[in-house]
Amino acid sequence: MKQVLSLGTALLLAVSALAGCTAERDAGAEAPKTNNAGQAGAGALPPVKLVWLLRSSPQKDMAAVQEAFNKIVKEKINAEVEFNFIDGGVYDTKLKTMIAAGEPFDIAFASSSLGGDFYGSVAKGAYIPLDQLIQSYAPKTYASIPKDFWDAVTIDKKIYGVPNYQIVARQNGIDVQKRMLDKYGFNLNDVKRLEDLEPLLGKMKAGESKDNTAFYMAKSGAWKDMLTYYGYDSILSPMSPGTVKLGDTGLKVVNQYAEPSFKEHIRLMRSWYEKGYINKDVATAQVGSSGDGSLSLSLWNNIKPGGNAEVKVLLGGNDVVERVLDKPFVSTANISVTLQTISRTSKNPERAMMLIELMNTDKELYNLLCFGIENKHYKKVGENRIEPIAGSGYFPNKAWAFGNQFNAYLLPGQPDDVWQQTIELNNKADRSLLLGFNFNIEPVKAEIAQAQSVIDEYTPGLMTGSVDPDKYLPQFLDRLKAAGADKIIAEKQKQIDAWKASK
Amino acid sequence: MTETQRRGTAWLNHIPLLILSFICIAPIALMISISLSSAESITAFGYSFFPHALDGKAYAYVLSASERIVRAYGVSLFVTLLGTCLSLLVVSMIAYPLSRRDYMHRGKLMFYVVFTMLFNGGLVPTYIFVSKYLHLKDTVWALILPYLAAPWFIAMLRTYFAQLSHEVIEAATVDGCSEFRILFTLVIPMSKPALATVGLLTVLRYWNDWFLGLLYIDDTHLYTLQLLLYVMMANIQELLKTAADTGILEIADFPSESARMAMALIVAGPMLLVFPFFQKYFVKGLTDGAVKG
Repeated sequence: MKQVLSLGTALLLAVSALAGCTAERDAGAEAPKTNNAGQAGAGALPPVKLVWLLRSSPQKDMAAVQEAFNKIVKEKINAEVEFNFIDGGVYDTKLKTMIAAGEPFDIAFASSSLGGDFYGSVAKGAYIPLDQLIQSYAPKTYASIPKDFWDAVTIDKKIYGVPNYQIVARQNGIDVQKRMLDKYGFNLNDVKRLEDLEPLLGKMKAGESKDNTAFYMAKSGAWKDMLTYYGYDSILSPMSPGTVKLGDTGLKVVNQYAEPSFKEHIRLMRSWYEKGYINKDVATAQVGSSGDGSLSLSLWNNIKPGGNAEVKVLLGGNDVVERVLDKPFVSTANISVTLQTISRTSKNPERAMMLIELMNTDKELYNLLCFGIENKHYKKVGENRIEPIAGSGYFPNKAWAFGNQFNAYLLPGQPDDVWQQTIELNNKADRSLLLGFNFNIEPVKAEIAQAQSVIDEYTPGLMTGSVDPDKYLPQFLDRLKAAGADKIIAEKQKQIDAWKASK
Repeated sequence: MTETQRRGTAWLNHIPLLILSFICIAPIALMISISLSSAESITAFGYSFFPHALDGKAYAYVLSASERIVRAYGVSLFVTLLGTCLSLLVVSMIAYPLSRRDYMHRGKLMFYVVFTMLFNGGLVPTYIFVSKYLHLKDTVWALILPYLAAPWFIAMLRTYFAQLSHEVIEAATVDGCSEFRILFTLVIPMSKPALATVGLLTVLRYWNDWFLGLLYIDDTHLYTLQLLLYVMMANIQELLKTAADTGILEIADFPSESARMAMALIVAGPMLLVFPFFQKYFVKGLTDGAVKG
C-alpha cells in the first residue's frame, strides 16, 4: 500500500512538473499577441532589464561599452541589457548548467557545434518557439536571410533560433605561399585535383630548408573538410559514419569510410607523408599550421571572401594564393552554428526579440558591441573601415556570434566588397538536399559514442598518412562495424526516409 | 646471507622501483623538454626528451605577456591558503566530537557525514544552492566554501583523534578545561601528523581544482590557474573544431605547444615543492584506522 501511495505521489509530482513546463512555454508563445499594441513607440513600453549570454572572452572595458549600448537601447525599446560574456572554452558547460538550473536569462548565443547543443536543448524545452515573435518584432531580420536557411533552425515546424547571418556556404581548396609559386614557377590554376599539386610539393621539399613543411596538416587531417570535394554531404558531423552522396535525390546513406574515394585519399596522404611533404608531428599536431605559421608552405583550407588575410596570418604573414577545388555548399550544420535563442526563463520574450531585431538591423548598435567605442577602442580609417587600437581593453572580435555580420565594419585586410561577395556566394551555393534535416541521436547514442572512440583512435593515423592504409584500413572498418556503424547508418536512413515523407 | 647476496637482492628490489620512477618522471621530463624547445624544432623533429635547440621564449611569453596568469596565480594562492586553513578548522571541529565516545549524538552526526559521502544532491541542485540561495556566484567564496567539510577527511581525523588517550582529556576536564580549550591546546597539537596529511590533501584539492571556477565564476579576475589553463586548452580545441566544422576561422593569438607545456609546469610547480616537506608526516598520518588504538 505504502509503495502504491509513494508511486502515486511521484507520478503526480511528475505530471504537475510537466504541466508547469508546458504552461510556461505556452505563455511565452502567446505573449506577443496581447502585447502587439506596445510596438507603437518606446514610450509606451514599460522599462525592462534583459540578460544576454554571449560566447566571447570577457572584456576589460565591458562596463563602458555596455553603458553606451544601453543608452541607445533605452531610447529605442526602453530596455536595459546586461551582457554576460563567457569564454568559448567553458560556454557549453555553463549554458547547459544554467539551463538545467532554470536560471533566468533572456537571450543566449546557441550553436549546434560550438556550445549549448542547440538541437538537444530545444528537445529539452530550454528555448521558446519564435515564429510569432519574429513575425511581430523582427520582420527585417527574417527578410534578410534566405528563406530556405530558416529550415535549418526549424524543429517540428517551429523556429527556435535566429541565425547570425554571415558566410554560410563552405568552399574548400588549397592555399600556397605566393613566394613559393614564383620561385618554382608553378601555376596554381593548373591544379584540378589534389594530385596535381605533387610536382610543386616535391620542388618545395627539395628546395627549402628541412624546417619548412611543404603541406601542413593537423592530426584531424584534411578529409573531413574534403567531403564535398569527394562528393559527399555530412549527417550529424563529417566524421560520423554515414553520409549521402551529393545530388543523390534518393538520399541513400552510405558509409564514407568504406567508399573507394576514402581509400584513394588516405593512400595519397600516405605517399605524401612517406615522401616527407607532410609535417612529421602530424599525428599529434593540434592546429593546422606550424607555430607562428611561417614554416608551413601550403595547406588545405576553407576559402571564403576576405579569408585570405586570415590565412596570411596562419602562414607567417607571407602572401597567399588560393585555389578552390570544390563547389560552394550550404548544409544545415553551417547555418545552425551561430544563433540567438530566447530562453524559456525569459520574462520579456517580446522585448528580447525586439533587441535581436535591433542587433541585426541597427549598424551603429551592432558595431558598438562588436568593436567598442570609436577613438577609444578603434579608429575609423574609412567610411566603413576601422582599425582596432591595440590593448584598448575591448576587442571581442566575435562579429559572427553577435548578429548579422554583413553590418560589421571592415577590419584591416578585408576587401571593401567582402560582404557583397559573401552574400553572393551564399546565394549561389548548392543547397544540401538534407537542408532542415536534424538527426536525432537518441536511438543510437551508445553506438555513436563507441564509433566515435574508434574513429578517434584510427583516423589521426590514417588520414595523415602516418600509418600504412593497407594494414590499418581493414582493421579500422572491422572495429567500426563492431562498434555499431551499420546500426547508425540504418538509423540515419530511417530518419531521413521519415523526414522525406513528411515534407 | 653474505654481503654480495644482500646486495643482489637489494638490486632486485631496486629495479622495479627504478622502472616505476621512470614511468612517473618521464612525462614530466618530456614536458620540460618541450617547454624548452622552440616551435620550429618541434615542427621539424617532433617531441623528444632532449631539446634540439634550447629556447626560453615559452617561459618569457607565459611570465611576461600575461597579466592574466599572474592574477590567476594570486587567486589560486589565496584560495588554497585560506581554503586549507578554514577547511582544517572546520574538519577538526567536526571530527573531534565524533571521536569522543561520550558524545550523545555521535551516531546521528556520523551518519549525516557519511551519508553525504555516498549520496549527494548532484550537480544541478548543488549549483542552484550555491548560486541562488547562497548567492556565491562570481565571488571568491564559491571557490572555497563548497570544499570546506570533506567527509573523507573528517573520517580520517576522527580515527586519529580517537587513538589519543582518553585519560589525558579526562585529566584536562578535571583541571577545568573547556571543550574548546581541550581541542585547541591538547588534541590539535598532539595530532600534527594527521593534520599535516589532511592539510596536504586539502592543499592539493584546492590547488588542482578547476571545476568550481568553471561553474560559478564568470569574472575573469577570479579565474584560478587551473581554470585558466583549462580555458586556454579548450580554446585551442574549439578553434580546431570551429575551423573544421564551420569554416569560421578566428585569428587568435594562442600559445604554441611549448608555451602550453611551460604553463602546465608553472601550474604544477608549487605542488612539486610542497610535497617533500609534508612527506615525513605521511606514513603516520595515513594509517587511517588500520591499527586501532
